[in-house]
Amino acid sequence: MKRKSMKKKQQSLFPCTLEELQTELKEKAMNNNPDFVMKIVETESEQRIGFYFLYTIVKPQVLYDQIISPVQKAKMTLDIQSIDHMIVLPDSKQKSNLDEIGQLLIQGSVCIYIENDQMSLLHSVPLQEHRSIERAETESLIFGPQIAFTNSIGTNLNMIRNMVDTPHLKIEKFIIGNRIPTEVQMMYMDDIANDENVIELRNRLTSLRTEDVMNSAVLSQQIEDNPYSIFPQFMVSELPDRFSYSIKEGKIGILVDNSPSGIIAPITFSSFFESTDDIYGRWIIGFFTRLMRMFAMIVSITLTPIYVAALTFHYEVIPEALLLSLGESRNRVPFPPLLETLILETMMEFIREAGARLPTKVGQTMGIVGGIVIGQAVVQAGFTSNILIILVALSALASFTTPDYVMGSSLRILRFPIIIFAGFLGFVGFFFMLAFIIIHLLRLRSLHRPYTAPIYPFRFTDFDQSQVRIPFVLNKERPVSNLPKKTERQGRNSHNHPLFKTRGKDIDE
Amino acid sequence: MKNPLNIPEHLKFRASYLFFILFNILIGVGVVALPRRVFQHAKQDSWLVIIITAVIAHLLLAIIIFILKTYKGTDLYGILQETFGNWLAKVFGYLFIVYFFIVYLSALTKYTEFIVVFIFPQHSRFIIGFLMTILIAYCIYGGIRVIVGVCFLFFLLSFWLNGVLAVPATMIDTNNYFPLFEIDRNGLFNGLLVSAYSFLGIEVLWYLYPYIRNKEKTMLYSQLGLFATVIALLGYVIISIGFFAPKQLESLIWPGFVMFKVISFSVFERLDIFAVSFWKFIILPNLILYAWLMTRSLKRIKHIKQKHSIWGIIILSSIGLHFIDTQRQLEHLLKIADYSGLFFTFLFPILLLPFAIIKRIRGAKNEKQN
Amino acid sequence: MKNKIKKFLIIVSTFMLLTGCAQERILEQLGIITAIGLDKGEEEREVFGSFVTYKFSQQLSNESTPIYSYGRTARDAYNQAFSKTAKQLVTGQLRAVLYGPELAKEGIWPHLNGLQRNQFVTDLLYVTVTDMPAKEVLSAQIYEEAPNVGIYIYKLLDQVVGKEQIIDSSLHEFTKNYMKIGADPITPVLSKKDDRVIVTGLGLFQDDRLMEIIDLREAFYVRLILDEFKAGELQVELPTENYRQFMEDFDPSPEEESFEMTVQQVRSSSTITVKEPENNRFGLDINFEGEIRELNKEIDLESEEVIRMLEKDLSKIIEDNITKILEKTQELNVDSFGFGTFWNSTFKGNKKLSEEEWRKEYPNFQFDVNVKTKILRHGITQ
Repeated sequence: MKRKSMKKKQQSLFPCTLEELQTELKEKAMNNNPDFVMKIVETESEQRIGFYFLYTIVKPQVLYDQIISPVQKAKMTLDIQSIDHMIVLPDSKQKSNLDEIGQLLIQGSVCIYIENDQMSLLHSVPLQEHRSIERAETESLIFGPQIAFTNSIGTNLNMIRNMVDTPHLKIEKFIIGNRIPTEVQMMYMDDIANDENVIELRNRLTSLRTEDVMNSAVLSQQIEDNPYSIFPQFMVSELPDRFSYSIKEGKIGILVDNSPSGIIAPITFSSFFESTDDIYGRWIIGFFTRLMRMFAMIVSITLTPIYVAALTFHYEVIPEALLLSLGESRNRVPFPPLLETLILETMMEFIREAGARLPTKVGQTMGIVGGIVIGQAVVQAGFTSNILIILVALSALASFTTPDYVMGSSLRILRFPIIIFAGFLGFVGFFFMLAFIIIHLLRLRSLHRPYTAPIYPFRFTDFDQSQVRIPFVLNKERPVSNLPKKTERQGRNSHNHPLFKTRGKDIDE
Repeated sequence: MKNPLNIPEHLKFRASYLFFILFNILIGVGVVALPRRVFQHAKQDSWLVIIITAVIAHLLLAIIIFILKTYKGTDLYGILQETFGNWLAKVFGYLFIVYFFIVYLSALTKYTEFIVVFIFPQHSRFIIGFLMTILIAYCIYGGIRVIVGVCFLFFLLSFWLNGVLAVPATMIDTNNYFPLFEIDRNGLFNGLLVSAYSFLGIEVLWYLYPYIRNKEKTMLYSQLGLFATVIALLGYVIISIGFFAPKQLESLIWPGFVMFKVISFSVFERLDIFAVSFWKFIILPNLILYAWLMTRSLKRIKHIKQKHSIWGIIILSSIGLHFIDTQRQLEHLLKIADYSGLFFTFLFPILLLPFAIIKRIRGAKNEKQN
Repeated sequence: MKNKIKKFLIIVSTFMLLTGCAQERILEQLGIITAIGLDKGEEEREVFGSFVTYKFSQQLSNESTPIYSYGRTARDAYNQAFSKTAKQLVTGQLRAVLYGPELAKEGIWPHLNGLQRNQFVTDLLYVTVTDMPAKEVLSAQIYEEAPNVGIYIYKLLDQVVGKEQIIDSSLHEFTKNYMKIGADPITPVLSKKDDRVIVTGLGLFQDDRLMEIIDLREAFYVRLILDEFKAGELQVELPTENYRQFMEDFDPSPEEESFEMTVQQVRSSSTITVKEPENNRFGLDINFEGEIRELNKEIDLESEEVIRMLEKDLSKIIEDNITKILEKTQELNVDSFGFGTFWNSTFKGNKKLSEEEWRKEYPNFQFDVNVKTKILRHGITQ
């Protein structure tokens, strides 16, 4: 009851004097913020007009040039409509509710109020300080546009709009967060993207109840299918080209304000091992690198567990040529292979983490110190066998070939339980863990779409764009795993066009 | 149609996965012992026996699919209800569950036996079996989608292991196959009986049929799956006949694994150790399918959630694992599984066949009258 | 629900940590046996075992002393050896078993049975006999780059089998031939000379008893009968007399009565058929194709006639040698070539030979040996 009456009282504030509005706003809506200011302008027709804003979050130049000075110069009697017409900026609102006004002010609007009027006019002139467009840091590319998303959703949207400039790119806006509302934009190609996917994702975003959205990485974890899993079920990429490529293939993209990365959904396990570099490069190179990355993934999670299993239980399987050198280097190690491997793997993680946290230059030094000096000393001290050093380094290296950092880290951590099981039950435990991981992968879904596609469910036509990469001439269909509305691509078979093969001179031009 | 099954469309799978499902449920623990068991009776003509049994199995599969088609879209329990009434259907349903459990338990015990004999002689079999059941429960929780996926993916992962048998295949002695057709009636009969055991499992169709999206392709893919199994079984039998001396083959308990002993790679000597541990990938889909069959039929009869009944199965099988300790007890269990399998797999479809034919004739008549 | 699974898994893994640890066999704590030598012991029914193991010491000492022990059987000797080393003795990397001559003559199956039954032992290990006590052979001190004498023997046999001077005699082959009715096993024979292990020939077995040792020269013919091979060299002596006219261009009056020729085998095939069942007559057709590697006399190889004469002489020599070996096996009653299995795979029912019948019949078998030789090339000189 009390609340209701309060609301009524607030609504009935207008009309009032400028000073009244200032004190009301400052106390009720602004929480006595020190950066809240009011500027009063008196026009020729002796109207008192107030401008209320937070000076830390509005662009002063725009505020003065576009809003204050036209009003100041006005000759006639002004009402709220005529002011709105005078100001050429987009995004104007008329509000009378104090809470709403306060909310908009915080987001960078300026409130314009003519004394004793019924309504106030709000214009958005936000000041956003953010990085300029920079090189991608975590997902670096060799070919391709070497730019990354910035913190500003406006800039990011602008990049995507430029890359996918077709009216079919549909953007939907959501405001998420009960306490601190954040702007979230979902975009897709309305003629390609699957409707079920769009509806599902839209529902998840609208039904999300959360205090605030820190970042797109956080949002992706909040709307995932299985939040307990070690594997990411949405891809978070900082590359606009990858983002736009996925949208063009029929996936859905999400951008979050103040977040330098976008979410791509639905996603499959194998797409974490793809990079847009494979597409930019020649097809044979792309083909090879994709297979190599898959192989590296397998190596990175199996190599050290096999070492542990073989040395702890299955000495029979060690080839004769390796047995002596393994035995000799193991001879001085005081720990069982399981402990030895865990120690070294943990050390590797220390080095990696230290390198990531330290400034770039120091980080490199750290890598050298950790890799060479400690590695060398550890072997000489008889702390581990030198073959294990090779294996651990190799599997760490292999895990870094994964283009997606999140997936790479997941795989590295996944190695630990496999090592432990291999250390307790040898190959039996090793295969138990592998089977467990495979079953887990089979159970995972991304937007209710199978995570393991195109292997299971088996979609042969998708192999050319996921596990391998084929020449564009042969690549005539969009991946069916995204369940697109139109599968056929246009223009990819231009090699058959009569004009394409106009005979030119060749020999002895 | 008393109780039509309404399987949601998103749970249905393509008929082509039947190929992998049938291959997985037929190739399990039995294949490594099969060469010896058949050879004991049929000697060098074992391959002939396998082929004859395979033809019978193909026919049987056709009969099962014919019956299922007649009763459009329902499963075994639905058919039983329609033909025998509620009470008898329940009895048969429970009998089937008991049978599935025996097969499941014997396969699980046999797998642990492999591990204990080949890798960890002092290890408790209980833990190995228990780890296996965790995987099974985890799969059952994922539902039919995951179960079919496991069948498919694990087939892809483990199929190459059969290809490695090309190495012992180069070491065979052709004299061992001759003279041809020496088998007598007794040997043929016993051989047929023994090789029939390796075809237990086609009854999985009874319960899977409603889940198939394009039912018209059921026949094609399930027969193909069976055929692939026959090829694999024949491969194992033929290679081991040529590879071992007759007396030696009869003395080996698992000739299938012993053949892996002569395979050695430069980075990985002793493939047998690997094969035995890797056999998990071959046996797991098999066990999962049986566990699913049990929980599914329980759900049909008693409406118990599959997620709940699987725990009952795990507890029961753990108890079973604990008590079956010696090789003799295991052989006993296998025998029970085999004999009951003969009834449930080979005789049961024939029992149902007349009812299906009558229903078809009646259906045709009704159509004429209309 | 998922939370429950997680909890459950945590319980399971702690459970495993507490109880599930399997018996460890950590590499450096093992005495990995690479070769076993078995000799007859001093007492009745006693064997003397020598076990060669890996040494994982930092200093590369070339010294290797096997572990010695006595026991009733091979397995017993192995168990007795446990008390003589700080390391846990394991057989998973066993590469060769050597049986001393006395033991081999008594029969080696009782001492091989255990290996064959052991799941950790590979079927690819070599079964061999020695012509001196196995202990002696294993105490050889020169073994090139190999870490121990066991690995050296393995590499030696690998090399010799690879070059196909002798036939493969893995545990699998031995067991197969031992268990087969109508075939007897063959093994390589090892010896020690100048502190080095050498291969001296082939041991012919009757069942599991060593009956005869033949030298490497004869071994060539053995494997010619046994199977198709693609490598190997044959050295023959030919009379000068017949070739006098072709030698005139080079040496008008050769003094030596014979000359030596080495032929490298390119390929060969042998077919055994039962020709006349009523007379127990077998046909043995051998096709031999080779190229001349060495001649210690210059002959005019251009001429078609010479080649034909050489081929004919070669066929004759091979035929004679094979007949000699067959006679020898019949004398000893060892069917190393598996004629019995050929017989048994040809006939059904009553005509099949049982173990005893075959032993009785084998000396009465008749052989039609037919060798065809073809000289394909004669090297890069005329």
